[in-house]
Amino acid sequence: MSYAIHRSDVSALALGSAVLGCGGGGNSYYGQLVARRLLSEETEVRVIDVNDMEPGSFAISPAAVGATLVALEKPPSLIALRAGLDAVTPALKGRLTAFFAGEIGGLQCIFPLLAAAQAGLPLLDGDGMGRAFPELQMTTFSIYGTTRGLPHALSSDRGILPLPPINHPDPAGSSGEPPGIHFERAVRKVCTEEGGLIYLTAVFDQESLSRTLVRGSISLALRIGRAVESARASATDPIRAIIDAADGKPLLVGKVVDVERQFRAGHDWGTVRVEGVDEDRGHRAEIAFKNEYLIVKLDDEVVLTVPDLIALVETESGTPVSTDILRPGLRVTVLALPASPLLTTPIALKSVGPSAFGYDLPYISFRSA
Amino acid sequence: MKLVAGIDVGGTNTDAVLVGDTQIVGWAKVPTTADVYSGIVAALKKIGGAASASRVHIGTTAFTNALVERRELAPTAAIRAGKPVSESLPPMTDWPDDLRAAVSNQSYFVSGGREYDGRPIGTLNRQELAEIARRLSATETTQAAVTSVFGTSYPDDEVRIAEWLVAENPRLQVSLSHRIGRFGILERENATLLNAMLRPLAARTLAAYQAAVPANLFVSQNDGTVARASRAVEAPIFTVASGPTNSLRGAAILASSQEACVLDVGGTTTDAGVVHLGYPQPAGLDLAVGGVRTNFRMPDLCSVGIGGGSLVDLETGEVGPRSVGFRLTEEAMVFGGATLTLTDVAVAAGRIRLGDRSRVAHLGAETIARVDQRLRVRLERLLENFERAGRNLPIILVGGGAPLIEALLRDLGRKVLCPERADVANAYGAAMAQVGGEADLTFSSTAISRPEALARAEREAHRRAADAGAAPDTVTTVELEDAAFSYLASDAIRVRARAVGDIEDQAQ
Repeated sequence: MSYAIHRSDVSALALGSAVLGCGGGGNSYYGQLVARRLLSEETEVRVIDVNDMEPGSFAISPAAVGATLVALEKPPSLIALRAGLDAVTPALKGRLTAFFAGEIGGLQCIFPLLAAAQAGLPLLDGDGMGRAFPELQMTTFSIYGTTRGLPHALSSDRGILPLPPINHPDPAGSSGEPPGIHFERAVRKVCTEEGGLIYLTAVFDQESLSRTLVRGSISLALRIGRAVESARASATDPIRAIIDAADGKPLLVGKVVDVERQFRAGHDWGTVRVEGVDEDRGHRAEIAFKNEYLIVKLDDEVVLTVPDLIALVETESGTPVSTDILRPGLRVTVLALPASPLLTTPIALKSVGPSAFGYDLPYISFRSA
Repeated sequence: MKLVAGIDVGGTNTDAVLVGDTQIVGWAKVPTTADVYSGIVAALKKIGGAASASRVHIGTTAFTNALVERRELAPTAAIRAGKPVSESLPPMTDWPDDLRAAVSNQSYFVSGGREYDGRPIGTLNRQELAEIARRLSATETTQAAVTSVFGTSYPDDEVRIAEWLVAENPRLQVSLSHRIGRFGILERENATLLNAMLRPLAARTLAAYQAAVPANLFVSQNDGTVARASRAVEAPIFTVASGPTNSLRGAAILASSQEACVLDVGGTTTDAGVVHLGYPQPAGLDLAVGGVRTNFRMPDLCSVGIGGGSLVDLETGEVGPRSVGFRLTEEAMVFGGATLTLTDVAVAAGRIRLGDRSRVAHLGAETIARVDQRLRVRLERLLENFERAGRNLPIILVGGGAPLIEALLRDLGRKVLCPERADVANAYGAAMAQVGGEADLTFSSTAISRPEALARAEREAHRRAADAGAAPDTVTTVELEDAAFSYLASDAIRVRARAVGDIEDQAQ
């Protein structure tokens, strides 16, 4: 099953991705503007399932890596994107048949969309998270392993950057650390040196992708975005629209009363407190975040943990609220959405469960909340 | 006693108050005139003349209106430093077509700009800028807006660019982004461009105001402070959201309350906002001015359709949102009309005396109780939007419809303050304004600790407040917040501070 998306779908895609971004993944406004500027009215990008990709062919994931705040001064770099694509394309050992997003959350799906439009190739309906996560080893590709040795490139506005070794000699699991974490640390060093925002272009093969891709996430983002847009247009409840589109559930309708944040080891950690209003009056939620929302306590009881999705959405407008714009007085609904089954296996939970973020908690799933 | 005059030039009325030692000693409401000037002169005359005032503070919508109506805007050159960074989003991306059409702005990308840690992205090039300055001279463009990447943290490039441009083309007026906007390059650049486009109009308008006002002239700004007219001509964009800010602040000071919820009950709606430390709590979302996104914030306001003219449904007790509005004195039952309004119910309940009470004698206690019950629920919900944890804010009630709901709010167990002269809260807010300074800085904090980073931003905000005319010993910090640059191995943080203080009159 494939379908076409157009320039007019960009706003819905960005809105839906921001909901799936769980408070992180970057400000999607600039990405959206760049996409709307570069895609013409006639541009059509086909969205296909990974199983419709030609066997033995390859797909490329262009992605931004870095600080979301830096991206507010340095909008998406097309120079870096082009440099990355030019670096990996000649090294392909087969046909390039698609582009895809490593991460659906936030602005990341804009880059593969632009690349696909430019190359006249389809976009895969899927990503490596089904949401946003702060680190590279938290993708399903790192968790389940993909074909080694395929070309990768790091780039910036200055062009191609030195690439750290992807496959660290330390065999996965022997050090107790999640696979891919060495690459993540090395890339972050390059990123910091290079102005806080760089681009990673990676090639994957069809076989690996059909095994590891979180399928359907582009469609899901579009569905959420369109539902909110039509709720706004018809003055109906945008929260209900998100819940219906994403099989989610509301945990609390309230207002932000307090935000505590702390800066540790390169990440924005904190807690936001939300007090219930209307039907939820008397209840309160406390949501812990590390760039993204991770744990929800409802009236002091943990009811949901990462990797399930936690989104804070403005009650009135359905606009997702990212962790960097949290402030007392915002009227929000705390929403839970289910995680992809690929993220909730015992092996995946080591990389993306509560313990991976330093919490001594078991994974508490959406289904039990 | 030192006297300060506050003037609010609204669409309908020009209000003026004369304030001495925080007390209103004179006030006036006159119709706004087409030339604005004669309305101001008339209002000042009524309050005893500006001669007795040491300062006059004016709140104006002149610049907001110019942007909304797309008139009297000066063609401007957008100059962005940081090439090739940010070229994917050129200046004026996402502007409404009619605004683009109304002004023929040009845009240029030049070398310069910084990384988050202060390292240059490229080297500034004097030749490149001289060439632009000559071209602007040829097209008789007098306004330039300069924005450099990470300019709020590292303003030197913008300052240097302005020097070089003016050296080549002395007629050029340059607006610098770090003095106008905040972090976020496109929104900051938008605000800087709008500012530049307004400067010639601001110079004309403020000269006219100054002619009407033989005293030191100050202009109301978005954040509840005022700027000297001589400074406001350089930053007219700071005035675009000053109206709601002045009315919230004015109400709070009239009621002597630094922490309160303000309810303004009009004919059609009740608008609510909250003041914290005497200043309006800002909304989370950015402010679009004339359809252009900027990163200024508006006070957080919430409205419900409850007002003096709201229609009342006898069956359900529901009030509004439909209203007879300004036709209240014709259509309400107590005035001989046939429409049941909230005013009629209040008259029947004996809360206010208006019109002919016998005409609503048929409304029984049961009906009134039903309406009250609905109102209480809705008012409580409205107030809930502004409540913080563990606080039960007093309510400041202003506006013509205040008596309609005062008793109901008391029923809810709320402390209600009904200040006198609330009808000129806006002009009073302008008169009582202080001056302020803001700093939005980035620190690469491997070298400096978080407390030191906060302290430096605070010091810079205080310095800027003093620079704007504040008596140094009166300057206090009203906002201080920091955010981390997630995902950087070096612990870079961004800190924003805002400080305000009393105007030092001697310094004039």
